[in-house]
Amino acid sequence: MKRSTLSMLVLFLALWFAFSGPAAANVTKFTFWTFIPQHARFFDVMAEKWNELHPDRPVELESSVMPYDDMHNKLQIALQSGVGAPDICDIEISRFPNYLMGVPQLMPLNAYFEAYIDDIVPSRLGIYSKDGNMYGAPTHVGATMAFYYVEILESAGIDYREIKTWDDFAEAGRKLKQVHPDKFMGIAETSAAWTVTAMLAQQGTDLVSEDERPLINTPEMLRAVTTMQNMVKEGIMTTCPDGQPDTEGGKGFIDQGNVACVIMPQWFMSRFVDEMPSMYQKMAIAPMPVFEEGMPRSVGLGGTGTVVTNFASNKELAGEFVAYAKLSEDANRMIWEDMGFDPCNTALWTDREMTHNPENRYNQYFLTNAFDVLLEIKDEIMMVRSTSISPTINQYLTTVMLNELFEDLLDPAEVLENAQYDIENQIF
Amino acid sequence: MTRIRKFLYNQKAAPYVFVLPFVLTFLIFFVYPVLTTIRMSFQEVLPGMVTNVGWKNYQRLLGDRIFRTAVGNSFRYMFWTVLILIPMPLVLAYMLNSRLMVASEFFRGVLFLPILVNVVVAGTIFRLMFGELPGSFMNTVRAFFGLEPIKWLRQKETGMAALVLMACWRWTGVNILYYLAALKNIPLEMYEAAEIDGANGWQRFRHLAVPLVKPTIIYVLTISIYAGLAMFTESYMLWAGNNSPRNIGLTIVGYLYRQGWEQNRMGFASAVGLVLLLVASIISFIQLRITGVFGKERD
Amino acid sequence: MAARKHTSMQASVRLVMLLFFLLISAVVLLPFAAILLASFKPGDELIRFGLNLRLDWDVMSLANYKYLFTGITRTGQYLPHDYLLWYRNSVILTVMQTGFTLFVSSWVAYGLAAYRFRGRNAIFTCILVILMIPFEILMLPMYARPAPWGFWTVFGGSSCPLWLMPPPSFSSASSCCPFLRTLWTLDGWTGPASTVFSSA
Repeated sequence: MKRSTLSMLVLFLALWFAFSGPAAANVTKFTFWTFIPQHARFFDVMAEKWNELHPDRPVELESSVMPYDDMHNKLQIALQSGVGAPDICDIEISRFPNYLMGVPQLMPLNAYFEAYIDDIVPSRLGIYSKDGNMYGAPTHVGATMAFYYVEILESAGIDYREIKTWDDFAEAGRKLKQVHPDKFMGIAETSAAWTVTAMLAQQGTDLVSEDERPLINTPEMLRAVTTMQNMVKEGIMTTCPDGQPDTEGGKGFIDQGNVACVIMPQWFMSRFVDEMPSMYQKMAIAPMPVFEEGMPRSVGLGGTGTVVTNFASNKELAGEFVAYAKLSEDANRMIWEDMGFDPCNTALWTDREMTHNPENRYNQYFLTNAFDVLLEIKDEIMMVRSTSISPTINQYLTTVMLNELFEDLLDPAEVLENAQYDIENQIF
Repeated sequence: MTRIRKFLYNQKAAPYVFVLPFVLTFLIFFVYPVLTTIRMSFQEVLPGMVTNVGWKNYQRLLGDRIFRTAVGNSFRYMFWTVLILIPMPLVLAYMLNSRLMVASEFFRGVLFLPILVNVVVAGTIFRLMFGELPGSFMNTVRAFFGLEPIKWLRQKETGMAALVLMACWRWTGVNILYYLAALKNIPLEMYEAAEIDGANGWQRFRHLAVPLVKPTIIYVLTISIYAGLAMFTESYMLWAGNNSPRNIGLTIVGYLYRQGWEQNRMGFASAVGLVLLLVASIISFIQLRITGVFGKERD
Repeated sequence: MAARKHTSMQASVRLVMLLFFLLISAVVLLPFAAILLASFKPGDELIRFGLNLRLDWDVMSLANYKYLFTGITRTGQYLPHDYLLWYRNSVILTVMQTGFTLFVSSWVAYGLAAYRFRGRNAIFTCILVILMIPFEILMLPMYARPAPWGFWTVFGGSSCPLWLMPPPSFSSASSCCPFLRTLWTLDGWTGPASTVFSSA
């Protein structure tokens, strides 16, 4: 081997060794995969708390934050081949059913959840379960709400509190357009289905039926997408870069003050606080508009289930830790205080000391209090089903259907018919 | 031990010894996986459960509009890359080979650089360059010519253009290299003879260089056809994933990846893979037959 | 007289070709320039303005390189990453893969070129066949049936040997080993790509 090559090799090996530190004794190391940096941070906090409570069984987390698609694909491959799977992992709800197919390669966590589940909203546990086995620990309720950019609305003479129906919304949009022709009232998502699903939930339906048939070509869906498409055509709603608010492009778009209202699940609050500094103290939270007054004004959307894989070292400890880190009261408080999410332990929603803490940076960012809104809509939060065909439906919607509707502005009835056909063809 | 040595050094057995590693690798890492894939295409494969479903996967494939989109995309990509990346580098190589060219080694090096960039990195760069914001690189170029910014990666035609442009950027240099190697084998005297006979520049190219470079052209054509049909990573990187808007970037292998790994339907994905295998093989075979490589007796 | 005319025409052709190739080279090098500049700028700039060729000296710094080698972000935080581990893996993979491919390929190429024997045409066809089969479909069975040899298919796939031109010459070039791009996509390339943005 040439000397230069040899020395380069030595250099790299040396660098590699320099970067792998010594291991501590007695500590159980868990590899943790997630796709949201805030989750990794949260788990580090919970690991510290665990170590304080259980000094005899300390844990150490090696967290990897990977892009959404990549992490899920890697996990899929690892679980199928049995090689390289992490101990603990976050799985997003729209992909979760994929990992439950056949014989799930995840550990059932019923025994570990038992101590905590009385306080947790049952439907949030149900979405990560199969055949009575609970595989995923939920993170939050994910109640959908409207985030209003107050300043720009007031400058057009609009009071956001008066927007109750989609007609009000459209009216406000027109008024806004007259004063600010380059701004928009809302975002029509093309790479996510938040608003569309919320509109379906309002009308009492869902994307998939109880016996796992897709419900795409329905009158409710037609009403939802036509309403949105008309607003896009009028210039009231727009598509955003990268397709939906919870992306780099979307957040940049919102941060530049282009949108007066963002309809997203409650957890989007944390994105505002962490990544959209220009909107500090300019956003108010309120229930989202409905088609007719009296309809339920919210739905739980999004969600991440934390699982323990079948390939974990020390499964007992992993199970106990995950249960503690997501479902205990400590955890639920942290879920609000650190991540700004609406915790599944809804009893805490009335704990004013926690929810109205003036030191909390999520409270400081917004003009209104999130839990005031949450308590107002508490009994109106619908739940959407998560079935084995949900990933297929979601995948089709976010690549083909929503683009056809809001980018290409094709005829909604035709689009829905094609969508129904295509999705049914994909289902086995 | 001596018996083995005698066998290995035996003159008659020599060729077989030399091809043995290849044959073994071929059998283990090629024949076996292909056979397994064929078997899997008639099954539904889930962790812990494997069921035989006969022709169901192929039936699904026939009625699958998304699969047709993927096939269309792959074929169009193959068509454009072959159309541009076969003749254009040949012309450039011819120019570089010309004695009138200054610093031809330098330009050859520069044009070769892009292939050294890993496809993953190249795809990321191009994705940023073709961003839909007005400030993105390509939109700035459009603004320079007084044109409106466009959402490059959201529309079918511009998306394909981005893919093809990226392919051209990466592969021109490589093809130039192939052609240059072949062109250098043409002795200068032949050019001079042609010139004396009255052939002008274009005629010398068309009737002298091209036929003599034909084997290389065939080779490049063959690998380009396959590469075009089997393209995946470029598209995956350009759209940051497999989920391009309205599947404008979805290729056959992309569909295979989606079904096999994202949607966890390995049996169906195997069927997709085999269809691609069949199509690529048929096209390559036809092409080789036409250009006379196959069917000729090799001495 | 004719000689001088010939030379001046030659000179103008020379000039035109030179300018032409300079232009092409500039276009080809543009992405390199853009990415080089981007490596000196913070990630938010990329998100805000897209990949561009602006020379904003005030935002340009070596902070990204510092992060790459030390794990300390521009805000002073220590956020370790595994870039050097990935680099090490790549080096190991490349060395082993190249070695294996060269070994297998040179042996079979020599055998085919230097000898006439029964089955020679069959081997030729096998080589052709390998070049024509999409690599991705070979991976499906590997993942569906967890095999202890999973690690070795990395090398197996790379053994796609050389295409043989009329003997005795053969052009090796880059047709051997389509560098397992898909395998890397699945297994571990995500590192470099994600570092670009997560360290912004």
